[in-house]
Amino acid sequence: MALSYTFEGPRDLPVKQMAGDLAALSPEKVNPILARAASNHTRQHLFGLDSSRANLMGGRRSHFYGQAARSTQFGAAPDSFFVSIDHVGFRQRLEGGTIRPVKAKMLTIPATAEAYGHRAREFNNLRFALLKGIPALVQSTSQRIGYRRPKGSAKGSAAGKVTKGKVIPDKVMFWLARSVYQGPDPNVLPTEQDFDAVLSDRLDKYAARIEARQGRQTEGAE
Amino acid sequence: MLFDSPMPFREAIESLLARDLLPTNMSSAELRGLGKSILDRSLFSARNHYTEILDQLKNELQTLLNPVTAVRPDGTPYTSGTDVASVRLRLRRSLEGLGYQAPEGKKGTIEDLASEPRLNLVIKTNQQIAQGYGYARQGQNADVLDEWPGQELVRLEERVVPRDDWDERWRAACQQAGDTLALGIYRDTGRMVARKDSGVWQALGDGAGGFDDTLGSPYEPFAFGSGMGTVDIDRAESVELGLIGEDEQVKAIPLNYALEVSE
Repeated sequence: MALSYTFEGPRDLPVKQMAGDLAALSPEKVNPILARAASNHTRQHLFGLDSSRANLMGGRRSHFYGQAARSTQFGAAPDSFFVSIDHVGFRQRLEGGTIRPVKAKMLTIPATAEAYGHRAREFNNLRFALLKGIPALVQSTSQRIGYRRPKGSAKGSAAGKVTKGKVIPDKVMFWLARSVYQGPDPNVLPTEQDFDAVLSDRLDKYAARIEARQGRQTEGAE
Repeated sequence: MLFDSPMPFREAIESLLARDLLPTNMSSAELRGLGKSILDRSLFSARNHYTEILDQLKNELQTLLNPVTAVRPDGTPYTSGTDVASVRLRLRRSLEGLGYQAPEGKKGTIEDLASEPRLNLVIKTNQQIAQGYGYARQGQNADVLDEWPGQELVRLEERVVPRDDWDERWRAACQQAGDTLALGIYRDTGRMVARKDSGVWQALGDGAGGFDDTLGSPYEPFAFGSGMGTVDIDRAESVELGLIGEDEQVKAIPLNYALEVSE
C-alpha cells in the first residue's frame, strides 16, 4: 500500500525564532517550501534505509526503499501540504498487518535469494510439494515413484501400476501461505518530531531570508 | 500528521503520457542520434518494433507510477497497483504471444527483448525517468527555486559495480556548459554542485565527454542503471559556495520538450 501524509500548514509548527508576524508570511508561498522540505527529508530518510537495509537473503537487490524514495513527491494548498509516497507495499511496511492474496489463492513467500523480487510464474520449473505439512513451490529434478499391485494378484506379477509419489525437492523456492502477518515498522518514516524540527528550521530560515531581503530592498530604496 | 491514500505524482505521470509510442529497429546509438526533441516525446526501446508491447509498457508504467487505494469485498483497504516483477512477467508473456524469438545466440542477454535484464532495464529506466522528471519539475516551483536555487549530484543508491567516472563526467559537463562557477566549486571542494538553471545538467544527461550511456535528460538518473541523483542546495549554502547572490533569481528551465517547449 502507498500513502500520503498531510500537514496542516505552518500554524502547527513549533517555531524557534520567527521574525515578524507569522501571518505575514503568505501560505501560498510558504507551503510549497515546507512541502518540499518534508519531501526532501523523506527522500533522504528512504535512501538511507536503502543503503542500510539490503535484502536479508542476499541476491539481486530490488531497492525497495530506493524506489519508495523516488516515488516521493509533494503538493501544497493554502491551508495544508502533503507528501505522498506512491509505491506499492510502503504503507504495509509502516503499519503492518495481515497480507492476503488479492487475485491468487495463496501468497508466495520467497525462500531463497534467487526467488526474491520474482513472481513464482516467472519460473517454469516449479512443482508443488508439501514439506513437513508446509506447502511450497520447489525446484525438483526427481520424484519418488510407487508401485501398486492389484488386489489379489500374485507377488511378482507384472500387472501392477506405477504411481507418482512425493516430489523430492532440490531447492525450496517459495513457501505458500493463505496469509502472512507483518509487524508494523514506524522507522520506515522519519518521526513526527523529526519532521517538526526540519519544518520549523526551514520556516525560520525562510522567514529570516525574506526579512533580510526586504531589509536590503528598503536600504536600496532610501 | 494525518495519513491518507496516496496522491497521484502528477508531474511524473504527465511526462509519461506525453510520450508517443516509437516502435523501431534502431539500436541505442542510432536512437541517440534522433535528438532530444524527438526522444522526449517518445516511448521506445532499442530494436523493439512491437507497437503492442510499447503500448502495454506505457499502461503498465502508468499503473506502476500511480498506485491507488482500493477496498476488498470484506471492507479492508489494499493498494491497487503493480510491481516490477509483475510487469516483467506480463510483458514477457505478451512477447511470447506475439511469437517473439530472441536473436540467435542472444537469448537471456540484454539484446533479448524478453530477458530479465532487458525487461528490468526498460521498466526501471522509464519509471525512473518519469519520477526524475517529476522531482526536478517540482523543484522548479518559483518559491521552491528561490529557496533551493542549487542542486548537488550525489550517489543516492548503491550499485554492485558503480561507475567510477562521475568526476570526469562532471568536469566535462561543466566545460561543455561553460559553467565556470560549478567547475570552480568542484575544484575547491570536490562537490558536484551547480545552479538548477545551469546547462551542466543537460550536458551531463547528454553524455558530455563522450559518454554514450546517458539518457538525454537534465534530471536523474542521467544514465542507464545509474544510482546517482540530485539533492537540493538551499539559498544560504548556495551563497556560501559562491554559486549565487543573495537576491539573484534562478530561472525555471525546460526539462522536457514534449511538455514545456512549443515549436
